[in-house]
Amino acid sequence: MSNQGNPFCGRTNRRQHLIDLGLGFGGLALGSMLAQDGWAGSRQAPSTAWHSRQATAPRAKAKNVIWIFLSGGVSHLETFDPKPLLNQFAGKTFEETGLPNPQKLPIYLERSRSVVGMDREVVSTIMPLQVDFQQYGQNGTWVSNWLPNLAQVVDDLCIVRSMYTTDNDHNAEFQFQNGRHSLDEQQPCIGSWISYGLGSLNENLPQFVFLGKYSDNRVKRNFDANYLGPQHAGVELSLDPNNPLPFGRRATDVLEEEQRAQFELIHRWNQLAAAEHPDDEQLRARIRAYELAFRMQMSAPEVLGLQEESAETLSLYGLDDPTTELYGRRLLTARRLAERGVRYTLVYLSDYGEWDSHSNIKELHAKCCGRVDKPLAGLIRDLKQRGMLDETLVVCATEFGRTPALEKTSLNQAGTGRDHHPHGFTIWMAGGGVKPGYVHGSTDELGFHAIEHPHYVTDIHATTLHLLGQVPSQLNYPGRKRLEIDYGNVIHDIIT
Amino acid sequence: MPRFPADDERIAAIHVAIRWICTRWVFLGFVVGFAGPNKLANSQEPSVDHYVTKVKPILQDRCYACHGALKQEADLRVDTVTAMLDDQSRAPVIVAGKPADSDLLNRIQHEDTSLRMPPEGRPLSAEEIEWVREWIQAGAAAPESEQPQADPLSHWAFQAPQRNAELNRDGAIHPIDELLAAASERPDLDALPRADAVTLVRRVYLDLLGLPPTEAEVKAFQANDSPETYVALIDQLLDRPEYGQRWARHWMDVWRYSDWYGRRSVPDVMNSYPQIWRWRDWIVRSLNDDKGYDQMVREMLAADELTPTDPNNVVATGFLVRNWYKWNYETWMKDNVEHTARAFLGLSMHCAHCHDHKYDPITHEDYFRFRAFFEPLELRHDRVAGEPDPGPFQKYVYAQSYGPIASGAIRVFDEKLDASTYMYTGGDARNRIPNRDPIAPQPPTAFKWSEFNITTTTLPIESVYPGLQAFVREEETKMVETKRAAAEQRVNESRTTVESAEQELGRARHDAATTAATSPHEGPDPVLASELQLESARAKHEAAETAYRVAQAAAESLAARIAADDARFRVQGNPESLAKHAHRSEKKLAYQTAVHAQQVARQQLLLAQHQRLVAATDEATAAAQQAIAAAQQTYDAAAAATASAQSALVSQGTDYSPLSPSYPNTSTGRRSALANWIVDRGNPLTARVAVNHIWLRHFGQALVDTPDNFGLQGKTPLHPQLLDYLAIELMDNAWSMKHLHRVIMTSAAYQRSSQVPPLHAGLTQDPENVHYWRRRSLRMEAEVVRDSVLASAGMIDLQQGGADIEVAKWHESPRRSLYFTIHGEGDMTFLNTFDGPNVGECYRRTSTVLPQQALALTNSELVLKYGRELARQISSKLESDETAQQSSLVANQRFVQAAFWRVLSREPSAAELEISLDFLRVQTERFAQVPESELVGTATAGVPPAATSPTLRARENLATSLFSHNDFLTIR
Repeated sequence: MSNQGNPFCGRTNRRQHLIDLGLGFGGLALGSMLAQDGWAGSRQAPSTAWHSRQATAPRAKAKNVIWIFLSGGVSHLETFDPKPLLNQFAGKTFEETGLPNPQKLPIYLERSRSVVGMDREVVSTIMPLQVDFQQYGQNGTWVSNWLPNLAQVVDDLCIVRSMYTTDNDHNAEFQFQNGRHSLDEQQPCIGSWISYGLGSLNENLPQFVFLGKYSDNRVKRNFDANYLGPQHAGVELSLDPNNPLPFGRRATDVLEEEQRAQFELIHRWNQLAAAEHPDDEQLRARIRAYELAFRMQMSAPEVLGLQEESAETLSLYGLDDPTTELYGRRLLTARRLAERGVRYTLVYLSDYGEWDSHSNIKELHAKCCGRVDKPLAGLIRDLKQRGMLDETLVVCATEFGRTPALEKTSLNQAGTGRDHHPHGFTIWMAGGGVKPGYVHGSTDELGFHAIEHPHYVTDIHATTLHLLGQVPSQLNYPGRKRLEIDYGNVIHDIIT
Repeated sequence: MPRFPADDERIAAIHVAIRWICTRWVFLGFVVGFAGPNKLANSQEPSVDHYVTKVKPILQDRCYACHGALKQEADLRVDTVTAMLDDQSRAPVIVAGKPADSDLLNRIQHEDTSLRMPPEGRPLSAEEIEWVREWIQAGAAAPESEQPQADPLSHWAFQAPQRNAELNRDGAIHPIDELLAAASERPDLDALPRADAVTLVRRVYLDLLGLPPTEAEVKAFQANDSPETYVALIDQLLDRPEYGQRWARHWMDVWRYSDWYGRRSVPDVMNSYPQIWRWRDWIVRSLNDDKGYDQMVREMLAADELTPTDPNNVVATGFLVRNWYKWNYETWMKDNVEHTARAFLGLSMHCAHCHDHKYDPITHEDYFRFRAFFEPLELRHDRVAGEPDPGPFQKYVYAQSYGPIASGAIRVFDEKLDASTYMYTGGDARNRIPNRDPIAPQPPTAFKWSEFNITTTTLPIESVYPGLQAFVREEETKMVETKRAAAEQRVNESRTTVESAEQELGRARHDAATTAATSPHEGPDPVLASELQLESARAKHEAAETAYRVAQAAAESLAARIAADDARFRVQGNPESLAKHAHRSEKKLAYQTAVHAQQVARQQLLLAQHQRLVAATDEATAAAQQAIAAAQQTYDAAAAATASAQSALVSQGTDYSPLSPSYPNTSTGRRSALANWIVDRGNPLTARVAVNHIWLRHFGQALVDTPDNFGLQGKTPLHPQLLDYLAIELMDNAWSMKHLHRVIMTSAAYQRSSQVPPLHAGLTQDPENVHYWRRRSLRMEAEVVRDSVLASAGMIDLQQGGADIEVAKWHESPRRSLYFTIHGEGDMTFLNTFDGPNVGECYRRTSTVLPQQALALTNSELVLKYGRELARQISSKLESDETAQQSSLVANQRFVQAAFWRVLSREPSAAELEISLDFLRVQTERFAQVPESELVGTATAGVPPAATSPTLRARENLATSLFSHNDFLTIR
């Protein structure tokens, strides 16, 4: 494939989308489209990406991905990566511990780069752990007392305790999805690459769905397809079954049969045009798009309506408790989407910056944990009991961890929070071919640097693609240069 | 146009099927074509084949950049086998048959990473190393007469455009068509004829105005579509102000127009800047005025130096403002370099940010030379006549947020006149190369196309100190005068109040004196009340008088400051004494202000004391006591302030508040020099890049398929002579874009039909239309979709210019789409659905076909609203049509025809008419059977509710559906 520049607004090329949508569907009877039989059924669409499928492509272990994001920066130290030394050295500076000062190691500057033209103020007074830990599961994995439900399913989790990223501010959030520091050229996010590389399992629904609410528009960057084009961007589904996607609802003063007749009229007009312009591929693609649109409009409300879910299931996700109801609903919807073949669902399980605990971390993190703990554990249990966990990869991530040192916003104030910490943090995965009940990698004794098996964020992308049967380095787009760091490296150690 | 009988859909379907099969054959043709060269390669000596297909691509990809034509690190070239075999200057690069003795192989698999090649990027894979080894082992065979990599400076785009002297000798054929016909490798094809008048006129309107023609406009052209009328039509459309709006949006793509963004929800301006819409309006104006493209480039880069006192022009530097990034000026500089080079020169300068360019003759140092043009930059927020003073531009302080300021104009200026540019490595400014001198501004050194000189620009005083501008003085003077008049009025009013209070008190005393004897008084004492009233009125009057003295002092002070400014900057009067006077006038103003504040404080104190006097309960007394204490404190402070202001009255300083910020009185001239170098006739890139952008937007296909990259990695032009002809045509005609539109649109290539007859040879021999044998049918761009919906309903507002309109009003406001807010944090969903521009970069648009587009054209408020309006307008017109009144069939027929004209700018075909009438009949019957209560749904906000009359409801259905007709979105 040519690697010459071809900047279609960073978007797709004409022939490509015709392959996606157009050829040969022009004569499809409208009757079948109107049959309203709902699902076209799971169908493995031909891969449409420009990468060459080579014999070396791994066997796919996962079919779909539920990618959960906790925004603001979850403290690894108070969730899955406890460091007893922090209690021992509480109040001391890094220098005073006698251990190598993590802020003086070369990797401290090498790995990170500040956006604001200067590096953040360095605080080095150690803050003790704000919560107790206990061991759970067959391997005695340490889990924070703030996560009692996740602790019960720890044998299904695969915890990576050696993540790092390079931005010490919240743009690291978008970096987690697209692999690039915000000062560098932005890239399509992982969900878009998956949509681009794998195609659809269900034609009635988008391949890449975003579930979440946000007060800050920058959150959209998490599902931006950039040069892969709008057809690979995440489609935002609101959780309101009556108004699921943009323009996806019949106007409230239009009758159903009225609109169906309109679709039929449009179809007849366009068939005439197709006869007149037999070589017009766009036209045929458009006829097909109308069929898809109509099916999508019919299908989306069904997925979002939870009425067919049992009371046990609702309770499993915490829908019966106001504390967990909001996020439980998102995760249950994500399961329903995965069930129906949506390839990749990005669940935004917080508001923008919700976990960002610069002060009073004890109270804030306990509260944040309380809102997601039960729904997350519920998702794992539910996927397992339905036999879906084998083929569904769950990723639960955050943009960075929090500093082992305390943060002071002013000199005379007691430090009760932790600052942003890109140098070492924890994420976890489950199902879809990752090792259950496994802990991979570690940070140093103070929980500062990822030292054993350090992983940049795109290693999670690579691992995800690998589990989906893709070779990360073969996912390319004509005219766009991807760097080694964009592809990442598959973490083979965590794969079954 | 051949039309198929509508009632025979079977034939239509068969036709589709045939065409489908044909397309597949085309596809097979490609496969066969691909097999060709491989076969050929296989027939060569295996080792040569191995070299050509496996080894050489590795060398090309990973080694040529440093060991090829561009650079010869260590005096080594590996771009021919001969060069590698003949190299005697070191350990043998390759020894045929002896991999172990070949340094090439040693170096690509060296264990020492400092010696391993290539030094950057991933090491070669085991497989790749094995291919190299195999090839050397087998004898390092080379293809016959292998050519070394060409000198990058000989690249086509770096040579001056050539005029073809043979062109248009007899004037019989349009030069564009002549050059297309003469293209090498042109298959023997019959080009399609000119499109029919109806198709052509719609194409021209949408292309030049972004709006569909009305029925009358189509019919006028249909009546006479001679070449002369056609030219006249183009001229007429180019003169319409909508032309500037339409083409401005194209250039806004290329020049990355964006409103401010960053943290809109805070709000915090971080990228681009508020008020940048003035740059958008400048683009529209410049296009409508047919300002030369060269001049536009100059002004966008350096209007602050070129026309510093023209407020309507300095906003052209919005091109640079757009790249501003509050948190990190390194990013601002980076984006300035990248997008100046890509937009105007088609050069990927940004590739040299970290290292020498791998393909083009641009060194790492050249990158920083280019950056140095922008190094002195800062933003400046200028006051605009008739708008509030926005105040000075706020520099960023760590962790502070700045919301948008909705007045004034934003532009750039050179603030740091001696700014130095330092080289760094790895694309990271923290890695500044130590002990290296600053880099001077200069174009890439390999490109010696023209003279290059930087001259410092001396700026006129009105630009250096904008407070001297007449409008600033007038508006400030008007403001103080208005305040003084108002203060005077209040003095008079308060005096009247005092007088009537005095009379009132007199009356009360009199009454008290006369009635006291007869009956004892009950309740509040009227005399006491009147006394309090009078006292309060006197206090207010005193306060009004002190306030007047403040206003008076303010007016005097302003006059004094203006006089001092005149003395200082325009040598009118004695600068020192006038400056002293201005200084003192401000002290006086401060004193009067303090006196007034003291007066107000005294009034508050009196009021509090009265409260205590009239307090009826213990609680009220206690509260009043507290109020007195507080008022006393305020009063004491005010009194102290007055005393200190009074002592300052004798101050002998010469400083006074300026009427605006001041800026350096020179500009470095760096950006003017850059702009002049870019638009110099000797520069072979600029005009070519510009005409390619214009051509692309007329045809939907480019002459150079990589509009932002004319370098060695860019695509080779398919019609180099045509590209050169257009570039020279542009430059020879004062860079007039209107001229270029005329030239392009009068070619036969532009006017061709897009309707390909069945089995036309072009479909197989040139399916991509490389040779422009037909017109490629296009899909409307996002803005054209929305604007055309509005225009179809006859409701579009074509007003020019103004602040960006919030996206929430996207269907409510009938303004053209280019005027809505668009930025890096969000855009209009409707536009985005139709591939609206990515503000990050958009050197060309794409055109996808998505189900969401179908939903948008079916369910969106826009289509519902304007579709329904359209149906109602046509229907109400039909009510006065007597023929239509005779039968409902005739009325419906008229309706369908009118709706087709409004939305598709054409008649319906017989088949379309029949289908449409059928739909109206069935739908009307359907609604007639639905109880009216069911026809009334919940109306959507901002959309007229659906009609309940069955006939009108059916017509509304038809009108809204027409926007989903393929021929609406399609420009044939």
